[in-house]
Formats: sequence, structure tokens, C-alpha cells
Amino acid sequence: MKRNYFTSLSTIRNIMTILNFIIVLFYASTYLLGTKYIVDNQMAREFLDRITYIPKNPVFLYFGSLLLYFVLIGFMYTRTYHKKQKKNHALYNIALVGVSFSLIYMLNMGYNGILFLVFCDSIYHMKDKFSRGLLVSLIIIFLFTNYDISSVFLKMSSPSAYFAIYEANVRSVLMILKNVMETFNLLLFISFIIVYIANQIQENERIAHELDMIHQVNRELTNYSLAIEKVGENNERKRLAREIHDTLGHALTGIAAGIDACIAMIDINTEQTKKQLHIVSKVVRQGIGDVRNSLNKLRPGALEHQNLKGAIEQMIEEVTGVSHLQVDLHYNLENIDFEKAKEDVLFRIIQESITNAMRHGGATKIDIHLYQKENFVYMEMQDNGVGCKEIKYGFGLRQMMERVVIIGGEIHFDGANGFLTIVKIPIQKGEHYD
Amino acid sequence: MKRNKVKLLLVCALLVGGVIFGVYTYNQPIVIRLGIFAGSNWDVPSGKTYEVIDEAIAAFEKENPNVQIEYDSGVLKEDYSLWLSNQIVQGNEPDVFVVLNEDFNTFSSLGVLKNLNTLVEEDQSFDTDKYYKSALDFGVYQDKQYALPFESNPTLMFVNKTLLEKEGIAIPNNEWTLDDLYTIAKQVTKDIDGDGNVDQYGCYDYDWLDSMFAHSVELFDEDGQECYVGEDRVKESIIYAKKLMDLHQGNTVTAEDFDKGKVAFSPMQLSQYRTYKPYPWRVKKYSNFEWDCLKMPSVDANSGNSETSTMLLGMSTRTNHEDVAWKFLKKLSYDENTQLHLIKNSQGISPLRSVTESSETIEAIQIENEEGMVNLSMLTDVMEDTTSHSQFKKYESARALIDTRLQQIMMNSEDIDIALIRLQKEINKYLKE
Repeated sequence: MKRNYFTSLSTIRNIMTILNFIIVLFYASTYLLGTKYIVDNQMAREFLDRITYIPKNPVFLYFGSLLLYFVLIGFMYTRTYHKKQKKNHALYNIALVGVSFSLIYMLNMGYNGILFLVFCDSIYHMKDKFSRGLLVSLIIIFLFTNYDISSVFLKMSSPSAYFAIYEANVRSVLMILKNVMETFNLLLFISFIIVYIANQIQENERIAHELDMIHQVNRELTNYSLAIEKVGENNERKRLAREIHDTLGHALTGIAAGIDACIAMIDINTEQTKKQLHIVSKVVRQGIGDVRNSLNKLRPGALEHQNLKGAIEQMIEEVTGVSHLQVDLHYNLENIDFEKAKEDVLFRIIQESITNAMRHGGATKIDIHLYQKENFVYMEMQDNGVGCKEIKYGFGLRQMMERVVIIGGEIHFDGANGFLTIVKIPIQKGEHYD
Repeated sequence: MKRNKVKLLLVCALLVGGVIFGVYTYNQPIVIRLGIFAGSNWDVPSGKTYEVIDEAIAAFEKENPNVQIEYDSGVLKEDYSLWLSNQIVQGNEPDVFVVLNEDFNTFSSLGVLKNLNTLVEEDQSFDTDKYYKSALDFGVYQDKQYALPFESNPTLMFVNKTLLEKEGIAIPNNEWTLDDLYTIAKQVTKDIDGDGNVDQYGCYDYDWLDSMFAHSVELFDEDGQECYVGEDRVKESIIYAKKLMDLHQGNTVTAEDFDKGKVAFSPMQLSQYRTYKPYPWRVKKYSNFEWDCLKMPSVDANSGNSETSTMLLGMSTRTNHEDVAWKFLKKLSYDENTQLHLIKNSQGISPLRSVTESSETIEAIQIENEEGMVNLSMLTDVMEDTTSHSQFKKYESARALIDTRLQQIMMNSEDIDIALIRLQKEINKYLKE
């Protein structure tokens, strides 16, 4: 179908090119032969009285207009091969406007149907804004190149004077010829436009259809992702249940049995009971170990393999690597070995705050200070974002608070100047080492 | 890579070609074409058609060795307008050419003639004050100088001395007025052979236009949009012409009557005077009576106005060598040597003050008429007193139209007031078409 469309458009264009050549030749010959007729019939003085401006040299006009027409056609037909170069496109358009105007001027504004051809050609190639500029200038030129309008501004001899020199019967033949050709040119132009518009409508329909299909695929993908999420959640739940069952359940069952045995034995044999309790204690410790192992499996990936500092640095690197954000980390906690839970919380808070600073504050620079004062570890984080007058506690902030409370710490927010987050976490004995 | 080399080669070839072409055209002599006709512009016999032009060309080519002037010889004056029009239609008009008075307005309006204003202003060696203002103004169309004067030809009044002496009337001096003319004309108009019919007349060929120039009235406005033929002052001059004509009591004065010496006065151009006054042409015409020329009479002694024809030289808008063409135009119109030579060989008078008032001109005119009345101070007066009329495209045709209609009006003795108002309306309509 597409192929068919371009063939019919270029066929019309080719016919128009040939027809316009004939018309240009007709006008140029009318001027050239008309001049000869005037000179041969000694009508020159009379003719000068009839026109309003000195006529152009007819030989110059004849060859000049033919040459200009060939230049115009050359531009139009070579342009097809340079479709991709935008700069060339603009130059071509300027050249087309210039050449077609000169040609019309050369023919004393007698024939401006040549613009239909240029118009068709530019529609044929219209893909960018330059072509639209060309269309506008063509319309302006079309209005301006009517002899009756332009003769007010531009002085030239009237083309009708050259027809008026002939006797009535010759004149009427010439007029019929001229009008038939010009009308045919106009008809070709109209059919070109009709083919073009019909194709545009079809194209639009095709695009609408494709858009519909894309929407449908999109919907299916959304459903699929929801389903995947559900499945993942389910799997995770099952894993947790299994984990609890395998570790805690196992240990607790053992503990319960051991303690029951102790209750029965305690009055009969204290020594034996003590022994039994030692075993229970061992089971409890083993249980704790198991639980810790299970929790380890749920930890953030970064913390699993390295210490807190390394994890934070890696996370910052990842963030700055994908955005224009600048993050300065001042880590002054050299002699501390946190509980895993506290490290997790701190890490999560820093991660969440950086996300917030980018997402809500639009910050480009963040300063993070981690230091120790008395028996507390402080984390201060300041960004240069927009901040906020009143802090709204959404899910993120509330979760941060909850986490901090669990490990016995405090958290403060201040949105007056950028966004400031201060976290204070107590250090327990044993976490500090020298 | 290969394509770039080809492109580079092409550009180089073009450049070299351009330079060669430029050097070649620079070394070619500049050819200036001149458009001129054979014979006198003033319709009097003249044998020395191209002498002045040839001499000016020789002098110019000597001054400008790289310039060549060409002209088509043998174009007659009556064919000249058509010949020039043919050249214009073919885009092949000469660079510098003579413009006939009847073509001047059309050619100026069409843009055939170059507007000389900037050339005149920029040329330090060109002083417009050296021309008689009226002569220079002849080449002005709608406030723009489109042509320069080449030769002027003032209108004088022919006096039949023999007739006036016979009637015992003193020959008037150069300060005479329209009233004097009328009085003398009335005195001499009589029946000589006693057949009851008037056969001696006061004036031949003195028409309403001469009367209008004598009254110094403008016929049209500046732009040629309005005609004043119905206005009081114009009417006055028309009535004067009619009064003179009415003296003839219905008889038409013919050229034959004039040649036979039966008429006392007739307007005559200086060119005719210069042609027929001296030998050999004096034998051909007016040989049976004594005659001379006076200034044209005016409405009072202080004002004087008559028509002066001026032959114009213009320059083509499409000339390729504007500077050289302008130089050559000046050589013909503005150069004193050319003009002096012209005065000696032609029948008119120079539009340049310095030439007309020079001793050579005095000599030339005095050799022609030993005891004549036409002298230099009178010619200077005439040249200074003539005014130019407004120039517009339809000037010639409108004037011809008025002329025809006025002759009808005078013949038919219509009511002149109504007829003139009707004529004015008609002409205004024509002008605005």
C-alpha cells in the first residue's frame, strides 16, 4: 500500500514537472516571439505606450527562464538523495524559494503556477520544521506573485500586453491554450493533495491501531507483575515459616521438653537436674545461634559481606554513580563494633534519607557525619534541597522512627534549611573496644 | 576522498576560468552605443548631420583610449521613434540616445531613461547652473532629471518688414506687448485688390498655445492629474487668440498667403530663421520681401514667455557602463567645445549660457545676418524668459486633444465659457483614466 502511495505521488509530480516545463516554455516563447511580432509589424512605439514598465530583453528572458526552470528541477530531484541531512534540507528550501521567485519574476509575474509544483515537492519531503517554513513562504510568495498585486511594488511590463498585440483570433487561441494548461496544472495539484491527505488519514488510523495494541500489552504486563509480586511474597512467607519451624520451633520444643524433665527431677536429684539445665542452656544458645543465622539471611546485601563503613560507601557510590548527587561522608567511628541490628537500622536510615533528599528535596549535595559522643553514636545528615516547612510523616519517616525506637535510640528531623536528620543511638557495653 | 578531490579540482577550474574571463573583459574596449538620427531635429534642411557628433566622438575616444563609441547612421528623424522603440522592446537600446520630445514622457515613465539625479549630484565637475534653467527643465519628469539638453530652439516672431513699411507702421522693438500685436494686426488687415474680400492679414499661425505662453499660464498641474483649460487665465489667452483670428473675418490664412508676403507676423523658430535668412536657402523662400525676427510679444513689457523646443539626450537604465555613458553624455551636452561646434553647424542655440553668450556664437549669428535684428542679448533674453511646462506621460496626447477641440470651438463660435468648462471636465477624465 505504502509503495503504491509513493508511486502515485511521484507520478503526479513528474507529470506536473513536464507540464510546467511546457507552460514556462509557452510564456518564454510568447515574450520572445511577441517581441519579434511587434518589431516585424512596426508596433513597438504603440506597444511602449501600452505597457507600464520597460520590457526585459526577450532573449535573456527566454534562456534565463528556461535555465532557472532546469535549476529548480535539478534542486527538486537531487534533493531526494539527501533526505537525512537537516542542514542541507534548510539550504535546499531557501534555494527553492529563491529560484522559483526569480523564475516567476523573470516571466513578468505572468505565471505563478510553478509554485504548485514546488508546493507538492515540499509536501513530498515534508518531515521537519524547515519544510513547514517553506510552505508558509510559498503561500506568501503565491499571494505576492500575482501581477495585479506585485505590479504595485515591483515595476515590470504587463504579460497581458504581449497577448494584446495579436489579432483577436490568434489571441483567443493563445488564451485558450494558456488557460487549459494552467487549469490542468491546478487539477494535478489538487489530485496530489487528495492522494496525500487520503494517505495521511490512513496513516493516522494505522498509528491509532498500533497504540491500542501497545496499551493492551501494557495492561497485561502490569497484571503479570502484580501476580509475580504475590508469588514472591508467598514464597517469602513460606520460607520464614520454615525457618521459624526449623530453628526456633526445633529449639523451643527441645527446651520445653528439657524444662519439663527438670521440673520432674528437681526434687529427686538436683545434680541430675543441673546437668539437664546445662543441656537446656546449650540448646537455648544453639537456638539463638540459629536465629541469628536466619536473621543474617534477611540482612541487606551490602552489610552481609562488609562492615558498616564499607557498606555505606558502596551504597553512596552506587547512588552517585547514577545521579548528579554529591555525597560527602565523614565517618568517625573507628573503634566500634555495633550489633548487627543497629548497623542495619543505621544503614537503612542513611539509605532512606538519601533517597528522600533526592526524591522530595531535589538536593544536589549531602553531608553525612557519623561520630561518637559520650555513650552515643550520632548520625547527622544535611542536604541542600528545598526542605519543607512542615514535616509530614509518611511511611518512610515513620518506619525510620520505629526502627530507631526498637534499638533504643532517638531521631529528629528539621526541614527549615534543606533537610536535616539527626539520629542518636546508645552504645552498649561490649560494643566499644580499644 | 576521491569525491573531495574532484570537487577541489572543479572549484580551482572555476576560479581560474573566472580570473581569465575577468582579465579578458577588463582588457576589451568598452563600447558605448549612441542613438541618433540623420537630419535636423528642427525639420529644416541640414547637410552636416554627423559632423558634430563625429568630432565629439573623436575627442572623447582620444580622452578615453579604452572606449569605443558606435552609432547606427542613416536612421531618419521620422523613423527614429519607431527604430528606438524596436531597440527598447528587444532590450537592445543604445547606452546614450537622443530623445524626441514626444517620446520623453513615455520613456521616462517606463523607466527606459535613467534617472540622472544621483549622477548629477555626485559629479563635482558638473554644475547645473551653467545651463539655461528652462532648457535643463525640459529634461525633467516628475521632479527627476531624466535627460540633458543638447540643443535649444527658441520661438521668435517673424516680421514682414516690406509690408509694415508699405503701411507706414514702424517696426516694433523687442519690448512689444500683445496689445501692440493686436493693434498692428488690426491696422494691416484689409482688402488690397478691392474684391470685397480681406486679403492682407495681421497674423499667421499664432494659436492659443502661443497666446498661453505669452500670458505665462500653466495648462496642467505638476502631476498631470488636472487640467486648467476652463480657468479664467487660460480662458483669457484663448480669447486673445480667438480675437486675433476673428480679425480675418472668417478667411483662413494659408502658408501660401504667408509666403507671398501678404501676412505681417508669424511665429517662427530660430532654426528656420538661421536656415532661411542667409544664402543659399533665402532664395528658396520669402525672396520677394524683406523680413526679420523679433521676440515674441508678451502680456506686458516686463514678462516674456515663449516656447523653446529643446533636443534631449538621455541615457539607458540598462547601460552596462554607467560611468562612461555619463561621461559621454556630458561630452555631448556639457562640453563647451562640442556645443560651440554644434552652434556653428546646426540651426539652434546652445543650452549652455557660456556658449550662447560667447563671442564665437555672436560671430556665427552675425555672419548669417548682416543687418538683422536678431542679436545675442535678445536670444539670451528669450532663453532666460522661457519657462518649461509640466511633464507627465499623457502630456502630448492631452495637449493634442485640447488643440483639436479648441479649433472646433473657435470655428463653431460656441459659447466659450460653457465649452471650455465641458472641455476641462473631458480632459480631467482622460488624465485620470
